[in-house]
Amino acid sequence: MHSGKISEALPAGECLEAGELERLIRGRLSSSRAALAVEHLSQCPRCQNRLEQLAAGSETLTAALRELASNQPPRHSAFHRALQAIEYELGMTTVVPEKRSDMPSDDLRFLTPCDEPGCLGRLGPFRIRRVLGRGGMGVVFQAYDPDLDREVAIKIIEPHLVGNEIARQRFCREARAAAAVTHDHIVTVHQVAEDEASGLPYLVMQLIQGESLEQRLRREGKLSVQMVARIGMQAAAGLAAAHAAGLIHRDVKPANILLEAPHDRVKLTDFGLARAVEDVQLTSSGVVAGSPLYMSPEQARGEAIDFRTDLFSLGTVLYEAASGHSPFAAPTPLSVLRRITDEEVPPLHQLDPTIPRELSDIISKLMAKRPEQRYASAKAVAEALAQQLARQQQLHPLEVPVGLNVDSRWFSLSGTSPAWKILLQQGWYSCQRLGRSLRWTVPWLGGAAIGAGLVAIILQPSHVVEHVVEQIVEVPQPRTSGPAPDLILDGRAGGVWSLAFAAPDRLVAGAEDGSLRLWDLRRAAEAGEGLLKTFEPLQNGNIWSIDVSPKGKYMVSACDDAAVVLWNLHTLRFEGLKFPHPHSARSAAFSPNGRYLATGDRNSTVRLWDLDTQVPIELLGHRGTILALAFSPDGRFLASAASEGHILLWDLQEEALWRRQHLEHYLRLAEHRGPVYGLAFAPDGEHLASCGWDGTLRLWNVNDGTQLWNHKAHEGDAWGVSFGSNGQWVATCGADGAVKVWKVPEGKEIFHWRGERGMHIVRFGPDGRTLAAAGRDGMVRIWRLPATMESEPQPFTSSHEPKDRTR
Amino acid sequence: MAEAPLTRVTLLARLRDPGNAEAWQEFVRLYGPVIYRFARQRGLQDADAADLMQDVLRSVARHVGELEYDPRKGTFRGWLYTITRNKIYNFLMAQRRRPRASGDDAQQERLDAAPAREQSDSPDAEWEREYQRQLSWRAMERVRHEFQPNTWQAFWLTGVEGRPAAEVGERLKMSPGAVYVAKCRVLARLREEVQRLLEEEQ
Repeated sequence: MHSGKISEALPAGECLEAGELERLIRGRLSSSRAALAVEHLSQCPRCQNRLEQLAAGSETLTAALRELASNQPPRHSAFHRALQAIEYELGMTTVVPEKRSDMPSDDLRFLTPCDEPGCLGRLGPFRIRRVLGRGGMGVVFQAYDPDLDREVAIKIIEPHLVGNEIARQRFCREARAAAAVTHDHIVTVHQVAEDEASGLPYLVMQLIQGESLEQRLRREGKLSVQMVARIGMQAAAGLAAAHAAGLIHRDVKPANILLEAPHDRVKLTDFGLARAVEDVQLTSSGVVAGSPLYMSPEQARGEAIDFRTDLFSLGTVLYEAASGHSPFAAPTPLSVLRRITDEEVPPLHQLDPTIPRELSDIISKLMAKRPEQRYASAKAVAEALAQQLARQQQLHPLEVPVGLNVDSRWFSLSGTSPAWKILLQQGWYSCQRLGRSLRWTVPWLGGAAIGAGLVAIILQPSHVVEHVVEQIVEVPQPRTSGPAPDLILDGRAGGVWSLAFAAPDRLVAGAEDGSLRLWDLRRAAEAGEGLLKTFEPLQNGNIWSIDVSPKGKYMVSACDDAAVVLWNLHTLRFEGLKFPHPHSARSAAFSPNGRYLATGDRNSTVRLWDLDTQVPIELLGHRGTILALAFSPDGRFLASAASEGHILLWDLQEEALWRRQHLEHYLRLAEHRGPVYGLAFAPDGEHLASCGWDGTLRLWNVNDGTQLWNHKAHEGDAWGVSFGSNGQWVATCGADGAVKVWKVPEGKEIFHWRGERGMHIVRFGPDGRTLAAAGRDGMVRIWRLPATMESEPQPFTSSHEPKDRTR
Repeated sequence: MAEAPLTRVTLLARLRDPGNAEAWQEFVRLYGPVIYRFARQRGLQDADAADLMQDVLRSVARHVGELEYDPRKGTFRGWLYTITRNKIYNFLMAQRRRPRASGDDAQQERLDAAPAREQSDSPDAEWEREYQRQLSWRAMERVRHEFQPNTWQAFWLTGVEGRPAAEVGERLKMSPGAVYVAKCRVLARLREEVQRLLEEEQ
């Protein structure tokens, strides 16, 4: 894309060298040279031949494809169904909620024919790949979206449910309202559309890998107490988000609770669809179909319902998950309804003494016959379950869904402390009641943090109870303090997680609502109005990361959708290119020569894209969400950081990239406790700064991996880090609302500003003097720092590290 | 602080990991079609071949934990071949014993002949060929999303459908040279993916 030097012209008619052909295939010729080579190739059959031989080696590959393409089992072959069924049976396939039943081939009748390989037919712009499942409401397909180049799930609503025009319109209206809610624990609906040919409405949704709770229960019978509480907590958090938007699910059941692989993250699906379909059905037939096993008493009686109906259904689901049987099962739908309205269910702890009383009580309360006896909100349910898990030491603070308040004193840091585990196994956790209560809010894998604070529980490696020490770093409610910003930009679009300078005076900010804003800082300072452009959301969800190409022409943004998007900052438009990931993208960075783009997703994968060919190399080595990526200034090294707490360093030797060899990291830096959120290379390329959940700022030597220093920089998570171009200043920001600048190598704090809300991102401008920071409150604050800054010497002191750190 | 490079985890090892959804999906999509086609070639009807495919895959799922895998004793797909072959043999034997309503003599002849051909212990050429083909197909399915639609079309139309580059170029508004380059980029990537799939298995 930014090919450097211009090579001399290719003599007309002269054939290409083998090395040149190879580079052409790999997209490693400069664009001018490549253009000449392509021109030559257009004329020269010999070179065409050589190129092909170089690429494929032999004919076998294309011959195999040709053979199979013309010889696929016919559409009506039993093969397709059998393959799907076995994939399903092995219990591990891409999952859709509904029960799979016989798939009549006329399910595909409304698809327009498509002769591309692996395509069963077309629906609008989508290429249908296969049938995933079938339920009361319709058929679900896996499909490919060629416009956005991604795999999606498409649900087509049964024709008889939406028989006439009014019903259709109504359905779409309801479904669109439901689609507006986005949350970590809700399956994202990208689009609600109508097929022009058949008039059938369909939903385009995020494709989830994993299985439904229904499938899991069928496979495993019942689940562990922790699993039940965890599923309950996450499902309740998802419900809370929907309820806050005024939406009721109305059909919470195991088939609608998806467990996303590999960590069984709960994703609720079919939000509000029950309502949409029910309305239509009632109008047309007066009868509501479907299994009533998970209905609330008020639903069963046909009374008015509110959000608390979802709480009852969730209770019933959790009861079944914990006990292995559905509490209201009966031979006929009518007798099920009668049991729901009339019968009290025995508390779980009476059925099974291994179920803790606390969990049993929570579920009983959810299943109270009268709505007013249940919890006051889904959020309260999620908090109660989180609390229960925390008390059982089964919850890491990072697992708490966004927006919950959980009493932190119970949090286990067991992941880092074997001593802690031993104490737990011996049932000694009750001795932890020393701690003061501190309310805080933590993100779910890097979600928005609202409050601030960190509890560090330090254990001596000893079995003596008295040695258990609890240290609490309490955070006072901070007000704004420190040097006032020179400029404040307000995007009014919610929290900001990403910033990038496009030029010394141009800054881009990505907001929670998926929009991006480009500001002219000089105009903003002089005229009070500097917003040049708002890029409307192209995808759903928060913009986690943005980066600008070295010459300032291109910008990439990574958001919760499964692709990194390329924008053109000259034309101020979407460039039409996306870099797809199988999972939500979380981070992106351009290499200093503009040749490569590194992207990271929520499922351990870093992709290194050659921007000319848009072909990625996958860098594997993390286990978790890739939270940060940084190239060294000379482009030789890439650093990646992830939620498992490790930083990996990759040596991007031209040779290896050129040959697209499998790359291994050469260093693994595993000193951080908890996720690493930010990375920044020093201008000299020799040092790397990192920050993370443990609140520390660390400085590393990238040649040998030595940790040069480690300092507790923030109370609570340290979210962002940036190196100034002078190589002497490192800026950090964190959940405590502070923005700080440190002088290296002395490690002296020379700038300190503190606001009331968490600060997510900090970036130095190219001039090394402009400092921009943004966070929870959605404001972007800019400081113009003096050329030299000195303050009271505050040399680094030892950090609050537990002594039994195990790595 | 540096550590030994991660060894590539084989498909078999991943199949043994109980929660590994992706590995099973990959396994079914790679081997399901191979087993089905192979069974068809051995004379099984569509529905029977589909059942047999399920049967074999199910059997693998049941026994994968017990399999003492020793590369010296043969490959994973050799093992799979043995299971498939045995199941086909059993099926055909059962068919033979059952009086048949069908008067399809040719079919009957194939059935009679099939078990007799099943003498060798090493995966035979047909199985191997089906496997190689499916490997290319899987690689195709896997890398496809990495390319822009135009690039892919250029590859498919020229490489697979065998249309002339000039015609394809006209259709896709690309120069013939660009069509060749697009085709070869995909091919190179495909070859690499086939290699990766192969390595994963061994």
